[in-house]
Amino acid sequence: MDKKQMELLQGTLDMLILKAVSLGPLHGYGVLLRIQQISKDRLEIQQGSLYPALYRLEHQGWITSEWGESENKRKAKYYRLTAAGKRKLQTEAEKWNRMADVIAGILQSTPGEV
Amino acid sequence: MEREMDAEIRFHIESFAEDLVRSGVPCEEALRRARIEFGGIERAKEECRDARGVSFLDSVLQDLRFALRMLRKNPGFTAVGVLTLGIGIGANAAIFSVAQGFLLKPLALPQEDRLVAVGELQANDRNDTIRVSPANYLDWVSQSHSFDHVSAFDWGSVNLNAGSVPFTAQGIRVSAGFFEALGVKPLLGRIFLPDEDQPGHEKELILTRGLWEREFGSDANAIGKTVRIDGSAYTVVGVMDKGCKFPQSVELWLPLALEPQARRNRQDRFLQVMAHLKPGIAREQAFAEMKTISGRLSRQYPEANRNWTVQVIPLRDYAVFHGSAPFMFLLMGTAGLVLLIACANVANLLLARATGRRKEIAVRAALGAGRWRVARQLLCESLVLGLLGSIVGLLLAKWAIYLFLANMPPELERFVAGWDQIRLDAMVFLFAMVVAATAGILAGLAPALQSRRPDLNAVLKEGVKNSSDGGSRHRVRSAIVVAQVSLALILMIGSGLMVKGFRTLLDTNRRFQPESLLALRLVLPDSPTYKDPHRRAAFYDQTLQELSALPGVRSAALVTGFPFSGLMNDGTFSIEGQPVTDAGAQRFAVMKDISANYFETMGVALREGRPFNDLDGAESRLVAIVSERFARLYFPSESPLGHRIKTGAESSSESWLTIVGVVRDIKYNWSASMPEPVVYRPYRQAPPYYVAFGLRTEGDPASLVPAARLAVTRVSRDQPIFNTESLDRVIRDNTLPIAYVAAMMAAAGLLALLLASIGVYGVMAYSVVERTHEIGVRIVVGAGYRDVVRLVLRRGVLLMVLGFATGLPCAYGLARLEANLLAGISASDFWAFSWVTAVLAVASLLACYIPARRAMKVDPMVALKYE
Repeated sequence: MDKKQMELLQGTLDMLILKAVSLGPLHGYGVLLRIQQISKDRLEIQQGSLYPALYRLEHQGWITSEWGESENKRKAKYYRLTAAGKRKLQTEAEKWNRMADVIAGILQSTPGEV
Repeated sequence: MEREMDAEIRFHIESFAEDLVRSGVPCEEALRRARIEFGGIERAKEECRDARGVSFLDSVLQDLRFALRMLRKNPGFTAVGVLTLGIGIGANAAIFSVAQGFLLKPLALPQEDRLVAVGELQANDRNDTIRVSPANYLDWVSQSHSFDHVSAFDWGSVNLNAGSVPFTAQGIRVSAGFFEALGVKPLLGRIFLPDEDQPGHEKELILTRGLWEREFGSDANAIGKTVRIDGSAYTVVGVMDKGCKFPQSVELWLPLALEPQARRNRQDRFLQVMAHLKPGIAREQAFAEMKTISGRLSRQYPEANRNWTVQVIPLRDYAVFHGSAPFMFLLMGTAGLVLLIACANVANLLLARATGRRKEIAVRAALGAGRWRVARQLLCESLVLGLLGSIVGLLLAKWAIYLFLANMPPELERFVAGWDQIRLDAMVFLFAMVVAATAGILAGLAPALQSRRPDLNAVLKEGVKNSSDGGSRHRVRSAIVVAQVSLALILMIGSGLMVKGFRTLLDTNRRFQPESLLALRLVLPDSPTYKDPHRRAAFYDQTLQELSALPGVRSAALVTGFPFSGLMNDGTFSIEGQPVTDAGAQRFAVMKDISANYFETMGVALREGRPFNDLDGAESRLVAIVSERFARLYFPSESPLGHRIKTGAESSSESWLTIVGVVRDIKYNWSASMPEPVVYRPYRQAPPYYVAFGLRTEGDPASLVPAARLAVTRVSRDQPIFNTESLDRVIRDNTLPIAYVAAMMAAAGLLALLLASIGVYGVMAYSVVERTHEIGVRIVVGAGYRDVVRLVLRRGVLLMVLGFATGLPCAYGLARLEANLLAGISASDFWAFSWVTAVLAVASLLACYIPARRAMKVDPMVALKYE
């Protein structure tokens, strides 16, 4: 693993999971790999915190799960985005982008602008 | 769920390890590293469980378990709560099962819902037994299409001789299709054949199971046996099973064979009609069709059918004794009030305990239990109390029903519609459960609502028993006690009045000295001999002679029905020179045919004119004596003596009777609010078929029955007598329903008194405990014992007075309601109201005084340390 990994900002794991499963059904380990892959291994994800997050999202109805067969021919639980999850992901992403803009704007401000 | 979670995490770790192996890590090392990277597995699993959320069912089960644990930890509290609710639930379940028997399934016939009674009624008819004339009935049968079976029937007591002793039985003559409509099959033999309601083919009978067992010894060979009914030979063709008892109190069925002349009779409405609706036809549709037919018949035969309409009612409504429904509702309301009082007691118990548990609840709230969650927990506890109470309640109900059934004389049982349907069944069980759940929620509502606004800081800081808070808590508890006292007052006044009304009912007959009067009934057969009125009169003459000659008999009198004996003899009449203005507004009076010595035997004084005497015979001028009420109603400003009246309409062919006397009022119908107007006629001038003899005896009336029976057979060999009882028994038997109602109301009133006293006591005792500290301080600064007692009593008396103030107006309302139900009850019965209020006041004061005494004995030193 790369030493330059960043810790995940609080509250963003849910959004990342939703994004990961929005690209296709995944099992828990697959979610981990997918996020690492997209982030080019720059994010550090506590594996232990992944599952409570998955369960929470399922309880809230953003994702559903079913048992299927994995690529190595073993039984695995696959998660899939629900319609509600799709909407949730959209609003979360918009919120995040707005927030990032605002914060970036603040950080870029020069003394003259204030 | 747990297994799935395990499998999922194992899959994760193993897949991770495989990937590590693929990138060159040794096998065992890979697994170890995978585990380390994953982190704490158990902690992750725990977090998963939390994340998934606790299901509703799980949390309810948790609540239930907790509730049971709390109740087990406080056995005393639990026992009192369960018992209190049990009493309330038991009272409701018992009354419900009685009401169900009487009101919901009195007939217990297989297709009760599809059966209707059809009858004619006059525009402003006050008589609600619905009947029809034969000719109209026959037109109904041929013109209607809504029914698959229509059958007419007619009541008639018959004298039956099956070999040994002749007896009188309640017979019903029924036309073809009767049993088909009811949808019943015989236990033995067959039902009537279609042509057996034709004259000449009607000499057959079907027995009820009861009569078959009693008079035929349950002999299967009874079928085919010949018996004599009113002098003619009849053959027994069938026996019906217990379930078939329609109309109520029937003992045997005979075919109704209408003679050609009767079939043309459109004027005399004496048939009753029962029909079975065709599949898919609603009662309303049948009613609409019958209205059309009836309207057509009115136009076709205006002289017979003008002002007559038709009605189609459920047969169940016809069978239910029309007077019983309001009494049943009264009793159900009463039981409901008892339950409310019980709930109030339990609510107060729970509130008291909730105060003790404030700290526990505050801790739970501080640990994150939502307010709704805490409230739900408390509700759950009272709900469990209610359900446990329902077990006690059902046991109590079972016992109450046993008492109820056991107190009914067996010879009367068969006359009460629905009596054999009174039992604890699934419906009662369901009802008890609903009542229990409602009671549990009601009782738990106040504490649960209170728990929703705890001031955490205050509660956690203070000592558990400190009473600094509690303003609103006190108000709630006080309100509950006020409600309880007021409910108890309403109930006690209601039951007190009912009991008093029943006593009055019995007392009005004391003047007849009913204990020493033997009443016996007799029905002359509808035979050719007795078609002649002279023969009937002669029979009564001889019988009276024989009876009065018996040793031990002072006098023998005749009347068509004694007071309270259930025989109405209502009829319309007209007054000469006072025509009715409105065609529908007919005059009604009770018509009684009597022997000359009837008033003397009953001890009823003549007010005016002369009594009947032996000269008032068939050949002399027709005379009548009227009651005082009759005189007041129809001759308010003059003496009725010398005026002439007749039965039926003024245009009828009846003869005019001259009024020769006025006699004091006798009330014949116990349910009437006032003595009815009565017209008496000498029996020789209007010899009836149905009569009652009254023997004024020297000793025990019952001992004279065999001699009386023998005396009657000396006059006519096969003539049976029946209902041979002292008048006292007759009156008691006929007022038994009211006795039951009064007894049940009295029981409810006592329960209310007891529960309300316990409620007042509980609240007062608790408030003394709460104020121990304050009382101690007062004593230390010099308060005397009197001051302390006054302090405690003041609050109790205030609550009581508030309860009375709210209860009395409601009690008056209930009293008005009861006064409409029972004649002996007056809504403005000052003494009854005062007495009951006084009793409740004494009980509540006592309930306050005991805690007050305890307050008096408070040791200031102990009280001040009390914390």
